[in-house]
Amino acid sequence: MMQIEWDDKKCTSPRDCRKCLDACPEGVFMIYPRDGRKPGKVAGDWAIMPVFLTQCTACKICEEICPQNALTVSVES
Amino acid sequence: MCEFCIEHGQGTKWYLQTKNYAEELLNEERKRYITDFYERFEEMAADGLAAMDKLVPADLAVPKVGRSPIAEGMKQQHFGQVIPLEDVEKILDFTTSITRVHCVCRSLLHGVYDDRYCFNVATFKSDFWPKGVWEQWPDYSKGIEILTVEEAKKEFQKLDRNGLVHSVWHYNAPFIAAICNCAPTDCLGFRMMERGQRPFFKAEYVAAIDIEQCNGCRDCVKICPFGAIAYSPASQKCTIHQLQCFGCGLCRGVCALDAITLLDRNAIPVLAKEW
Repeated sequence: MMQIEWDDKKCTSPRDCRKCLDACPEGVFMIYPRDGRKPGKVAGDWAIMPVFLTQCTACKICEEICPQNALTVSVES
Repeated sequence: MCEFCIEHGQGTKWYLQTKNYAEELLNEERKRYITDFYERFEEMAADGLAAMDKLVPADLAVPKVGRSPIAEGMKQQHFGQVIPLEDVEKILDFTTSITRVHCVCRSLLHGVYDDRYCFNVATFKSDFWPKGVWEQWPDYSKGIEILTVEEAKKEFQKLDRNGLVHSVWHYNAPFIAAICNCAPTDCLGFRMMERGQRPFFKAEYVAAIDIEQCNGCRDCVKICPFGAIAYSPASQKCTIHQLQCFGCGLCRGVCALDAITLLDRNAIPVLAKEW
């Protein structure tokens, strides 16, 4: 299985960018509000999570397309 | 008949039974379930997918319904079935409240909040879906739209032509309250198939091509979301692989020669066991 590290210090606006979500051929990523969804509250603190990691082929298209270099793909032996 | 038709439909299509949409079923417990479902959707999806990683071995080739405890458990909680356009229209005909909202799967997988592919339907006058559910979360509330039956039918026809698979979904069996329009890449239910799980049944139908009429144009091949249709350069015709066909009927809608019809899955011995 692959490992994908997402650096939230580099990726500051995943909700506006979304490039990794759309570019990944296997649809590995999801985006979610880390502060949760509560009535009346605009969800925030968006994070990228590689949730279909078993589908990752380590093609590194996400690494290349990320404008902030926030993603690192590594192959686990 | 799928097992829901037997259990919730007395041997007829369960999703055409008005009793499965009844107002009495929308009790306090179900309301809480539905609200919680959407409030914690991302969290549940992440937990569920992580659990599947642990459960599923390498043999993911042929996803079967209910093959694992996760899809099996969803049969009680939130499970669906593919239905063709004419059955969507039959449901809309006995529906009185239709709320169109943006799709939670697409927001999760693509971060978009303006794709309104989900329709909550009710057979009773109710503002439960727009006000009780969606309006409370600002991310979702912008996408709420109340439609008449005629407006909804027009939208579904458009969605059909655009290659979106229709499906009905229950919230705690047997209460049906949603019709989805899914693309396999953007739907969490479809994506679960990559992990050997499928939280929905195939349709009560299967598509078939009349090769006398087929001119090999391949429009059906292009629209099939299940990769079930192949073109043979030898015969210059298209054929549908019945075991891969989910019976959604999208191919029929784009066939300019009307060469494709939907057959009753239950009348074909092998397919009658293929859900």
